[in-house]
Amino acid sequence: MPDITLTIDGVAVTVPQGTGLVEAAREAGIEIPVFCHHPKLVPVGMCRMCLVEIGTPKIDPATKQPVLDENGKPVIAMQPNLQVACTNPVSNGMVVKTNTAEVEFARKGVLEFLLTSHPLDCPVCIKGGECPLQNLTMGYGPSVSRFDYDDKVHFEKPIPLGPLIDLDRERCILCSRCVRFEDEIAGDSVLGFANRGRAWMIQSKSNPPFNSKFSGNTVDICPVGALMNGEFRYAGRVWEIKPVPTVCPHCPVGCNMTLDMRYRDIKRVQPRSNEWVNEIWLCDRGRWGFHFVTSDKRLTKPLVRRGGELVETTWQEALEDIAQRLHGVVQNFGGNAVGGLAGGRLANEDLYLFQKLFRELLQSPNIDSRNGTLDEPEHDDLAYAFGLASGTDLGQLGKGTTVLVVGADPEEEAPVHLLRLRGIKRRGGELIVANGRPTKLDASATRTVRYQYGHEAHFVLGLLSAVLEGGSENKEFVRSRTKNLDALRTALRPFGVAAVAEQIGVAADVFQAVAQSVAGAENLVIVYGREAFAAGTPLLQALGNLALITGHVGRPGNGVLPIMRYNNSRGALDMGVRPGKGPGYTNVVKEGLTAQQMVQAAGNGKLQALYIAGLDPVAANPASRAALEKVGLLIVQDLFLTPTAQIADYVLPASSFAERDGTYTNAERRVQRFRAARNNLGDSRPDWQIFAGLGRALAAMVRQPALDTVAASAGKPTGKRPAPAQPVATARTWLYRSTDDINAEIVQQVAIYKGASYAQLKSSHGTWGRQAADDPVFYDGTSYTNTEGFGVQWPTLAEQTNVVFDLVFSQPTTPQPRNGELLLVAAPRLYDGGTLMQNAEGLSFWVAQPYVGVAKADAERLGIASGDRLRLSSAQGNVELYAKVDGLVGPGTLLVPDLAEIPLGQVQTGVLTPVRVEKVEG
Amino acid sequence: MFDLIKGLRTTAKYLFTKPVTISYPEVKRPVRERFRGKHELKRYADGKERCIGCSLCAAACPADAIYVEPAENNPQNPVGYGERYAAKYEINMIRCIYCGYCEDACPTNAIVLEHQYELSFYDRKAAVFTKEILLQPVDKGWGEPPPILQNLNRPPNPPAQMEL
Amino acid sequence: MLSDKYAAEIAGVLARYPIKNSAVLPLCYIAQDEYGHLSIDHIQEVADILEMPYTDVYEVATFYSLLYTEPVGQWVLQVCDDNPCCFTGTEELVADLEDRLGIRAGETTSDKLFTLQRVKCIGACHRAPVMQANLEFLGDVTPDKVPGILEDMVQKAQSGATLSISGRFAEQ
Repeated sequence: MPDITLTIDGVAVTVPQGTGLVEAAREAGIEIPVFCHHPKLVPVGMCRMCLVEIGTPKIDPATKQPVLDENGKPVIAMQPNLQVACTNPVSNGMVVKTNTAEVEFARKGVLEFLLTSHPLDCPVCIKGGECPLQNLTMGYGPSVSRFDYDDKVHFEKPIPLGPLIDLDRERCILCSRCVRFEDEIAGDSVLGFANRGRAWMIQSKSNPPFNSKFSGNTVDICPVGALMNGEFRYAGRVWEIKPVPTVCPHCPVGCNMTLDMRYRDIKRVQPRSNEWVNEIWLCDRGRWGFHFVTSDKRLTKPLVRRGGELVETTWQEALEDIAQRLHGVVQNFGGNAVGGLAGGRLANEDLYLFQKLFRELLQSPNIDSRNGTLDEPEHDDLAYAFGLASGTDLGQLGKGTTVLVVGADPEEEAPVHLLRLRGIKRRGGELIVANGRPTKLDASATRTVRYQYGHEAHFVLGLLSAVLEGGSENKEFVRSRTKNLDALRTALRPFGVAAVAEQIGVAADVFQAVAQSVAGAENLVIVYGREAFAAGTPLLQALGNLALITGHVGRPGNGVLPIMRYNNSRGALDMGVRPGKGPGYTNVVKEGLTAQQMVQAAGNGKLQALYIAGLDPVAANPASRAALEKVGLLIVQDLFLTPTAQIADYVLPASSFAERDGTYTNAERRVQRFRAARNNLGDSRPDWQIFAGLGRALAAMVRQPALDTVAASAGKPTGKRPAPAQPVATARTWLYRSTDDINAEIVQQVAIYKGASYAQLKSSHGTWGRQAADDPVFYDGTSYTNTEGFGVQWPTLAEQTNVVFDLVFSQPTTPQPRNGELLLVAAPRLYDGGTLMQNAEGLSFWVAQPYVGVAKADAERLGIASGDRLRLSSAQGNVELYAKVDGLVGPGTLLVPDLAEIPLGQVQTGVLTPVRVEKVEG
Repeated sequence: MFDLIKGLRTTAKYLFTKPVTISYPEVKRPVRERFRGKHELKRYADGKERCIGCSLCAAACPADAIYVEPAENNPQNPVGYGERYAAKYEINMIRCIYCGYCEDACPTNAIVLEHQYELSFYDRKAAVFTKEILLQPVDKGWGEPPPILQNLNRPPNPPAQMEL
Repeated sequence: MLSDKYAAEIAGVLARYPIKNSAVLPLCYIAQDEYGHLSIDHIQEVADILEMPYTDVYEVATFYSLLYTEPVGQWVLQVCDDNPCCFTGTEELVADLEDRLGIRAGETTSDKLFTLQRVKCIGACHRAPVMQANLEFLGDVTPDKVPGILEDMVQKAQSGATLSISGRFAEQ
């Protein structure tokens, strides 16, 4: 876009066309005060605070040329009245005056009018101290009020707008920032203005009230104390708070946030500005879901089973005993008799040490980051090769970008991604949503495709065919960077557009249109989520091929974005906590057992010792309890006494994310650092310290020769890069003093993390958010200050231009329900009521009641009405749930929300489980 | 010899003047009107607490001696006016430098440095005065805000008396 | 359901506008005439027909003084109490109406015949004090005219004539 030069208060400034005056003035270092204007929202000019004098060059109507004065300068025609700066875009030669007496008088007048009905109860108001109205009144307003408190309007207050947000009508200045945020950014039209005149007020009339997963952001952008964080209202004053930078532990978006500490207490959670990840937003689960940290159910002492009871012990005793017994198992049965499960909730440093502990010291290849339930998908390797190329900023993509969302429900799985994807659509990109059921993203999509569950892969294969049949593949890219296209063509023969269209009931022209949009786009982002993972390798393989043949890999703005289950699931794979691959996706010699196989082996008595950190297989599938009870040595390391911990021989208390340092890797492969905000609870320790302590104890026992063979065989990377020298484990090398030591080792040992040292994570290239607390860019009052950097996105394989990819085809399978059986689909829920939602009272309102969604056609056929109690049974077992007849799923499918309360693992036999349905009395 | 008499003359002179010594603690020395002694948390005439728990005193305190923990007023049975009151109010008397900034910062004139100056403790923990110690009893310490804060024109108060 | 009962009329209204949202006011009138006022459910019904968010329809329904979110009587008397009307005797008029109807402004008589409301300027200052009854303008209303006006209205209501509080039939 062409640049525009204008003069603001005598300062010449050049900005792109379309920039608003407020932003342009900011470029010139001039502050125009605003209330209703927000850089993320469309300007409306409601508050009149930004009044300025505007003049444009006088144009001669005859010649259409600017009129020049005697000095040859254009004559400026000043507009007779003051104009609002926020809604006026810049134009060439414009002259703006922001500091004249008239402007100052107008600002004073606007503020006085705003304050006529504002209660000025700043000492009681929770916004006091970070309030734009307070600041701007100090800066521009009248020094005394002509109104007494009793003269002002008074309303009942506070009014709860929803379970989390309170409204103080007296303080509201009706700027509509909250209404516009919900409409424009979140897409939840749940806030509105009611009445008019003096009775004008913000209302939420949705049912349930304020039904949005982003409600907390309205509190942040509220320029007064009208919208209040219900929990923070009486928690302290903002100047007493010390924000500690951290990363959200809830979902794989990895939102940057701060824990706002008052002495030892977390008082609130605020977003940190990071335009690459979460901009300035945060979802409600991230904002109010920190209470598990202070739960009184947290483990504080190491426990050991003595005489059938778990009793408290000391760390030294516990670690030495565990090391002794693990060493014994390895010596007597070999490393294969030991298994380890470490979940994606652990930090990268923990996961690295965990795999090092197993591969080097215990000589065991059996490690995994899954629970071992039957519905768990394969590990995702797609993002390693074709992930969103480094340098991708979802917040910048727009026109020319196509986003293909397959089998994902971003609102429930990764809420802030929903905002980012909506943003791409808003800026002119295409958003194609394909799913087996309606999701909230549908409302924002340019095209919605509804396939039947079990046919996800067919849909994408049909797309592939459509691209190849139409000849719209990126021929240059296919020729130079891929091989085996002909084999793929042959394999795709049964999956031609016409055939697939008929098979899965999606019109053929839909395939053509989507294929055209995918292949023709400048940028392509493929988002897939938990329901796509459930469809397994054929779908993922097909998605990878789609990105490959259209050439949409390895360039910024292109690639796949898998939304995995835990916040650091990506980090767990990066660190090699999985069988068969070492840290950095390198090949290892010994193929180990998967989590499922470990649970089986435990049941068969083949597994002598199992170490479980941050996972809970028994809660995920109660049937695995019997198997795990047979393990001779079961060690569980967790925050809580989980069902798995209850049957353990040793229970080790771990620290929560708030009590330790570390890094998480988010879905976009961005490695981000989080910091300790509190002291460890009781005797609990960070996971890495526990692994390191165990490592020290074990290293002292393990004989040296045995180690050398392991070191030589483990972690041999592919490619030409010479194998880095593996450190020989001795008591000394397990001496990690802090996560910095581990990070240094990761940077050295894991090729893809070469650029992710702590120093680089903290670095800031250019402007990436607010770095000074008093930066008035948003006039929002709430600090988004980011002092911890924006993290580092590690490069994908596709970014190396010499890598040639194989177009692999795998045959899709469709679950075949037998006569009368229905397919059980687990739908992810943000508010799942799981362990990380403990104590979060505000959020508990939003946790759904367990139910099973039945399609209308099935309900009629089987005579089911809403409220009936149904027993769903499979070969594995059964669950009983109340039915809810809704039109959300197609016939033949049952939709069950994935809530902690529903033991789905009890019935699932695979990713999609055919179940028999019968009514029971209840 | 002469020098001796000269010296004794001064002694003799002071023998007949009124002694300046005060037999403390039986007799208390009167303090100046603006003297800044122990803090008191005042009440309104109806017995409601003036303090609204805004923590501005803590913010103003250069010695970081004040700790306030606010809580929400029960509208049925409010502790003070407004939505909030101080559930905990603590001043560390060892840290306090008696500068009176808290008085200045207080928007409701709830905290006043009064004339009580006998502040001694047996241990450090006792030096942290809680709200129970600072808050005036319901039947006392109410009325208009201390006039010293209104025109610095406070009528003379009786000297501080021990009431511990 | 509105969409069934007034299918033809709704289709006609929708056909008048290029986008559905524009039809929100006519549909609110239809709903209000059908139900007497616009409760949460009625607003939801309109929102469903127009595929608009509920909140947006609610905003409209509360903005206009001719859309009632509370039940009203058969006749809604809206007396202007803006400056010109006040100068010419609104307060006396309201007091008189309150006396005769036995209600306060903002209330409805127990026989559900009259609702008395104060409103801001209704744009007929040259005939002040002015009163609006179901969209009918009554100018120069002095207290002595009130008995006759009320008598007319009672008769009209008792005669069984169709009274539209929305004034949907005012043109006929």
